Amino acid sequence: MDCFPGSRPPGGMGGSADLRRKALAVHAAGATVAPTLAPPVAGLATLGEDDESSSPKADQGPQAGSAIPAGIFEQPKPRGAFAVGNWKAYWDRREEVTLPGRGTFNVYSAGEAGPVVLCVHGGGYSGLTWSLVAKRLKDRYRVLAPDLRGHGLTTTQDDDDFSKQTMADDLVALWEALVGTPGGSASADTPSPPPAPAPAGPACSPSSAPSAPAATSAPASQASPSTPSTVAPTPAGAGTVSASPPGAPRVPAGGTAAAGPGPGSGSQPPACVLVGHSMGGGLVVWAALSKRIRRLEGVVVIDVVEGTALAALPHMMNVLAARPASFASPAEAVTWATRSGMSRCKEAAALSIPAQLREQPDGSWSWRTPLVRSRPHWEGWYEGLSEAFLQLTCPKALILAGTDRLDRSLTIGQMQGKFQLILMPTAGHAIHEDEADRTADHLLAFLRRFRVGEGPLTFPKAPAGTRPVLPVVAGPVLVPGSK
Amino acid sequence: MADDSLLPIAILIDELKSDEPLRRLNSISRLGLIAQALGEERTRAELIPFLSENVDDEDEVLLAQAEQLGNFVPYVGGPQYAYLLLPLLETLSTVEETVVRDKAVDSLCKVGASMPDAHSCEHFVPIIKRLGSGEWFTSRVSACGLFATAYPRCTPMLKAELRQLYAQLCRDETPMVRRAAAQKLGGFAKVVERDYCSRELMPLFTDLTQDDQDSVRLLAVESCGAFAQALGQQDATSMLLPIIHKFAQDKSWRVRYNVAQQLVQLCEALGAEVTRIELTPNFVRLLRDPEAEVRVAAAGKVSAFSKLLTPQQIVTSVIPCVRELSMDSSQYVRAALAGVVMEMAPVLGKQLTIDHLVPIFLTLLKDVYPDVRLNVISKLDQVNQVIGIDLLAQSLLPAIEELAEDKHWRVRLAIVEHIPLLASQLGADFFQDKLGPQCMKSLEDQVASIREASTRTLAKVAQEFGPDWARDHLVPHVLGLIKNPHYLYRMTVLGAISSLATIVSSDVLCNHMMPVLTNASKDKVPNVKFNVAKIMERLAPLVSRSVLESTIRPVLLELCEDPDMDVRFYARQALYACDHGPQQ
Amino acid sequence: MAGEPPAAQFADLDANIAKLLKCEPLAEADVKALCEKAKEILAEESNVQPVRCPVTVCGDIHGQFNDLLELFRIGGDSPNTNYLFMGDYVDRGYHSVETVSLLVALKVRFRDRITILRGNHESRQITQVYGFYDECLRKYGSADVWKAFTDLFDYLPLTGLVESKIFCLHGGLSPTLEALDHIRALDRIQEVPHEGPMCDLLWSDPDDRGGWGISPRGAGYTFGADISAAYNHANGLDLISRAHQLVMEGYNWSHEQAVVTIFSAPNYCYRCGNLAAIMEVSDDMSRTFQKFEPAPRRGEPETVFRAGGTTPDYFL
Repeated sequence: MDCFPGSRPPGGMGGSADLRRKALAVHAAGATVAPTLAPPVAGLATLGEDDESSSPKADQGPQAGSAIPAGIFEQPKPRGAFAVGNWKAYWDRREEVTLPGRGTFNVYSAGEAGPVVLCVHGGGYSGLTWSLVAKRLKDRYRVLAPDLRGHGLTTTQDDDDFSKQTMADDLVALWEALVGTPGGSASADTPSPPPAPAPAGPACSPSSAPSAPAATSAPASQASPSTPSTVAPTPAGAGTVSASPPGAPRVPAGGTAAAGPGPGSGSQPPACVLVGHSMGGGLVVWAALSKRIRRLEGVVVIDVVEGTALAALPHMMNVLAARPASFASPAEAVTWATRSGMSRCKEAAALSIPAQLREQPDGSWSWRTPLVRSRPHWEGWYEGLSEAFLQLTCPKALILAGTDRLDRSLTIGQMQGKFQLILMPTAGHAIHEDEADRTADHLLAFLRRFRVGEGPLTFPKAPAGTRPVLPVVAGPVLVPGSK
Repeated sequence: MADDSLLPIAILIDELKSDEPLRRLNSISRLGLIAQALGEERTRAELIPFLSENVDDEDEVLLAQAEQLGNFVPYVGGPQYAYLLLPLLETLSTVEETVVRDKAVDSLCKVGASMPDAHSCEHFVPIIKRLGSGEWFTSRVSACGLFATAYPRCTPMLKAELRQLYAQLCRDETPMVRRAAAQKLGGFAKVVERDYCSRELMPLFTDLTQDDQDSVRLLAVESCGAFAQALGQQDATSMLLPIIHKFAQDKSWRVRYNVAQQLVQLCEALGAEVTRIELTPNFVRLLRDPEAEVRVAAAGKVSAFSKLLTPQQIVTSVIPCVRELSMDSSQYVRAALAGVVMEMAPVLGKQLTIDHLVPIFLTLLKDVYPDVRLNVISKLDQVNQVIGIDLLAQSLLPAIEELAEDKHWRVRLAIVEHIPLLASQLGADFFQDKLGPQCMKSLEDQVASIREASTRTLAKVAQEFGPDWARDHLVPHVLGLIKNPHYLYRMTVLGAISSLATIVSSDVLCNHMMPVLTNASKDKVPNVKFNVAKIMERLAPLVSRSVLESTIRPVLLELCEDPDMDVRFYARQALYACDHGPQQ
Repeated sequence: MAGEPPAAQFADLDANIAKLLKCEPLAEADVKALCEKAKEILAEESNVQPVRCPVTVCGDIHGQFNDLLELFRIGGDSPNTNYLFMGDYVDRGYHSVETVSLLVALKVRFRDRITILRGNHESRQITQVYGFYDECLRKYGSADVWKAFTDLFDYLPLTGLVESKIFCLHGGLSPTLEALDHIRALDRIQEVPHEGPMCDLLWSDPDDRGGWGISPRGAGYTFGADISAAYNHANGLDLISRAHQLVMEGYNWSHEQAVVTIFSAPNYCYRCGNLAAIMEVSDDMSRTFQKFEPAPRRGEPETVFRAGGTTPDYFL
């Protein structure tokens, strides 16, 4: 019976972390604690040994305080210094991709060849959330991780337009600019800019850094009549040879995919897998559902489920409010993230957290993305997500921290074998940061298993002519009437 | 827990300082152990100060800490040192997270209650004042929970101050604070002198009951009962009645829901007289509330409330509502009603029950929702006690026959289980006519529990009508079913034989049942065979020596040689029992 | 015949079964002894364990202990009714420990009345993330019981064969196992591998599409009606009976009645709203299905999201 007694309304509305901190400080200062007593006697050994020589004082418990070293409380909790990480150690370069009518998107990339793995971060994060994972994938795959609208180093016409539609369209447009081939988009009626020809477009505009050699393939094959996107590569450190990612590494048999590129299209784009975390997980599903990403061969969603996300939304304003509003330095923010349990991997936090901040005029650092302003769009990101995910026909994986996060549709879907569920109970919400290696292992296994970018599987057969071996562990064969 | 004593305490202490919240949590939840190991002095000198410096932690850690500290008085050296725990708990009672705060307040009360009176005035009351006038609402919310602990032990002057401070909290600008004040007011009223209670607290209560926020009013409703007790019946009636009237018509359904939940208790506190005259209209209004949730709550109280009324009053005011509720659009309302409506019968008496309640039962028995039907059936015997089985049978039998075919198996089971009651009241002819066929059908129900229940039912019916009747009317039917091609149904027959065996005559047992069993011992399914062995074990004491030796023993001996190990086991077990007398 | 009644040798075991039927977990030492005994019994069973009819065939249980009792209320108690369970006793539900303890205890007590096959959740890897491991830790304070059970799981037979006609297993077919004898030849006493024939038996699903396919689950294959038909024909089977997939009506025919899926955890995970079912195979091999709903709950949460704030701390 779904009666709602409602006698205990949720408490703790309003209030921010500052408020909490202040409150704590006020009271901690206002109250003097225990009078200091005589310095404790230095003890011996560790506890648990039955050391008769250090007999406990009579008035104390069975386990004498003297067994515990004096001054044991004196060292403070280690608040360890946290360095801020350097993205160049993980990525080959970052590019600024200008999408007409949208804005200039900052995209990190790692790896030159192989199928494309487009990684989409969650609300508040940036492309650098994928750093550790990208480093593991780049030998075989081309990893692309944009900063979404309103996030990281990306600047757009409307940084506050966090709507599902706009952001999913951003992703499709980014794919078209970075991966897709001209004339490929079947949806001619969309207002989004048509795809740029070949990965690095001809209108590649050198910005701050001198452009690396641009793509030479099909430079002028602009079949579509509108403004091309521009891509400005920013080479990172040493070793970046070319900003031009290759086209499809393998030519799949039969030429075109079933989704069918439009008339006059050129070669196939490379196979692509979308990976999204949290809000980004929602966005990749919506982008995939648009069917505008051709040769989409997999979708991986990390720690977001419609049912639980919607259930969590009412608390989200509190969660946001509970974060400190600003930090003295990025390093302090990293420390906070690690200490608060939000982040469980220091290396990942050292890259991800600073990228979520922006320096203020007063020298302090506050959050780059005003997530509170995305509030009107939250429901939109998630409503209908489970069904949409299940509807996708490509191979799908869902990576979660625990099964209790599955909602009804996905529990049924999982139990009917409609997608792969991967659980990592030791991780927090940012699974790919907290358990980067294992996430990468799973992604690699997924890409291999579903043969992303490869031809169809020939199935193993029982070796012909082999005589079946008779039972190794034979049970009692029940013959009717036997004794 | 035994292992805990072996844990190196130094490691636990190290974990207190760990970087990982989980380790800190682990260590904090063993704080008592650490304190015990440190001894009282070092707990006071080192542990408490350390904890006080580290209150900026994860909520879960703080929660564990708040909980632990509530039991910490012995570890710091007993009541005279209890005050040392207060500052830390005070800090915890101001954090943002509600659960932590609530736990800290609980622990503060525990610690406060253990302190000497003088310490209470000196250390505990100042905390209330500090929290109560705190800058952040969190501290003011926490303050509300502390008054009842401190008040009884204060000087009159301090008492006046506390009452004044409470008044201030009741008018706080933050709804959260008013909510807490409303919630704790009842408890506070209980410890405040009756005079002050009606003079000072009552107006505060009245204000809270008119608060803009429904969540505040909601909590005020819960204080009504406590107030009624604190005020005494006279004052309570005059002061609370108007408030209850208003509550019952509150524009927020959640408030009305709470009233529906609390009304019976309030009525009991205010007395039957007031209930009859003043509160019945409120109850009727709640029964007809537009919100289903409220009707569910009120419907569940129909019988409890009716017990406070005269039968005539029930008929005029409650019954019409009950009739409407039995056809309510919400299945939950109908199920709630079905669960309690039978309990009105004893209050109404026979004739009124027949006139007014029986038609309602019939409606509910035909409800489309199985829970409703089940709720009615499970209370059948209560009606039986009031109106007698004849009337019950006449009016309900058609419905019951229908329910015996219900597609919901628990409904069918309930009917099977009620058949002996009906049979005993209706007599053999009636049974044979109407219930008998039904009973036989249940022996072949697809659900195992129903088949089992029907064998028990048969035994009870046989007991009622005697061995001869059973021989003529039950046994042939039952034994006929042994031809069923499915082993589970054949085994039901064995079960029925087993339960009828003690009731029928020795002649029936030996000449009708035993041959069936002997045959069944040659069944092709082992399960049937070992059930034969089990039953023979039961029957052995009932038959003569010669039957035992001529019939039972040979069967068992043969089963002892069966290829199936379970058959052999039960046969050997039965033989052993034959030789050594029944077990247990 | 002197001394003890035959039942005396089972007194402890019977007492343990009675305890389990009240949903009380056994003492750790009892569990370990039980698992050792069960190992001896299961080691003698075949990878394709022959089973006699009549028998009642059941699918996934997943620690839904109260629903297992409901299953017994519907189908009849053990040992009166013969049972064949097709795996997945643990994980997800709140009482994996009691569920698997009861089934193993029944197996030890009545080895010919109950057959318990291995499911993909009867594995060390899977139970560590889907709940059984945590539950053992919670109920026994250490992982020893989990270890005892998962060591035992290695011995569970992979498939059962009712009267040479109904082939019962948890998942489905494997492209590398064309004949039952291929299965008989497997060395099954090991953890469920990530891939390969033994993994396929526990992970594969039937599919509407013909032929073999890569399973979307991440392990095993999908197989079409053509594969099932050929398999049944080659091995002289009437029916492949399997579990592994949730079906809303409790059971579901596929591949033109060559394959049936049976799922015996009603309202799976306390949230899916599905019926459960069992298949009663009669003395004459005729088949009846019984569907059932969840047992009325006492004490277990009806919904999955605990009230009061342990919703995940999503950062959007």
